[in-house]
Amino acid sequence: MLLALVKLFINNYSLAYETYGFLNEKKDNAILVFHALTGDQFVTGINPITKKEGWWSYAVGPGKAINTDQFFVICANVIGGCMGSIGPNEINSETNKKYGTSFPVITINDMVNAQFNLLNFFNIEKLFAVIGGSMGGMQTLQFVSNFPEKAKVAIPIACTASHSAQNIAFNELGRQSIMADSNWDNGDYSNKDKSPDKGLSVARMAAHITYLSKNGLQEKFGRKLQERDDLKFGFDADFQIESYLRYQGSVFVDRFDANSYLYITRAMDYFDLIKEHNGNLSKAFENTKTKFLVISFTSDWLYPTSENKEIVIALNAIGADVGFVEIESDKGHDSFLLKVPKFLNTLGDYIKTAYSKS
Amino acid sequence: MIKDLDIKKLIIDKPLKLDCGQTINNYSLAYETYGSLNEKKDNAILVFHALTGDQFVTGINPITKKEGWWSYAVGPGKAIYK
Repeated sequence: MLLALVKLFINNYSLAYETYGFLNEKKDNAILVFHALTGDQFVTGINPITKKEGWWSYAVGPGKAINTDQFFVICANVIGGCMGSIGPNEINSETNKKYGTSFPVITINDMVNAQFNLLNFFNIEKLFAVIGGSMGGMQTLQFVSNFPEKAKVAIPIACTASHSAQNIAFNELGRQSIMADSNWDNGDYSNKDKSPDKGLSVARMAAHITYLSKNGLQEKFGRKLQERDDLKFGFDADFQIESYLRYQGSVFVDRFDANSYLYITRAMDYFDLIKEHNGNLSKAFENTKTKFLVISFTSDWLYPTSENKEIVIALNAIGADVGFVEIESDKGHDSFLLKVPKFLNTLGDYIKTAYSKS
Repeated sequence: MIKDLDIKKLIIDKPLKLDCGQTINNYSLAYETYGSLNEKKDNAILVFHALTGDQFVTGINPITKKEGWWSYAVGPGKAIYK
């Protein structure tokens, strides 16, 4: 599986990445996209591993909001991930065994610092933009905070500057589900040729609910029954929503590693850019000349508009160049991944205009 | 863990036909009561519990040794009082 991945080796750890479009001569058209919890470097087109459309196919591609005819898009698998970058499912060269839970706990800051090496690798002095949704948005904020001179534009989408108690709670539910699976084996399953599929699948089912909205679920599924005329008075999937969640859980385990899920959710939980700056988020962006566009969605209750606005308020307080849009959508947190025309148009228009003015 | 001694049970010998089609016979129904039924028998309130509730509405639950699930609402002088 790993053979299919393009890998860049830096100080003996690997960072798997993918690129789309071409870097121009001035090297001013590069966009670094950060992926979310279960994303990977295969942003658009057919993912060579899953054989399915990339996770941001609606937004990235020729003629799309992030136009690969115009921009050079780079995306790397986060460290701690399971699509080729160093993570718990990779082999520790010192022990010749997979790391499992001996892999160090990593943070959003670590992820961003690892990916910063891509700029040197591609010989890019300054990115045109850093963009990401959800955990990708957190990396976007962290990137500008760490490297205030390295991106002209930053677009954090459906994210937060400080992971909330509710989000930590949902992540803990997922982790406990994985760890409750006896196949998890204290994280050493990958050296024993087994995997906690049931635990990981339940973690995904629970998380998937949080990515949708109550209204969206009601409209799509309501109380519709799954291939039956009436209730069966048992515990198999009577309702379409049950069947849908089971399917989502079952396909997820084919492409994702349970230990990676533990590590990446932990990194999200530890993310607190506000605390990192002693309670003053503005300080995270003190010296930046980066132009920001913050985007949230009306039905996103995981990273609600209120939390996205905190970022805008902090940027306004220091006179930073910041725009903010709340997009109307009933598709919940997942809105940024889906075909939401108002969002895609807003994103595309902003990028096009910002680039022509830069 | 659960001591049957602490649990009042009504044994019901009248068959109960369930929605799924099956019938149960001679089944027990554990219950608890608070306060007293008056002579006119017009002061009875049947309380139904929620998903993880039980019959021990108020006072100390003899099994968990913790306050009953609706102690704030049910009891002497409370919204639903003895």
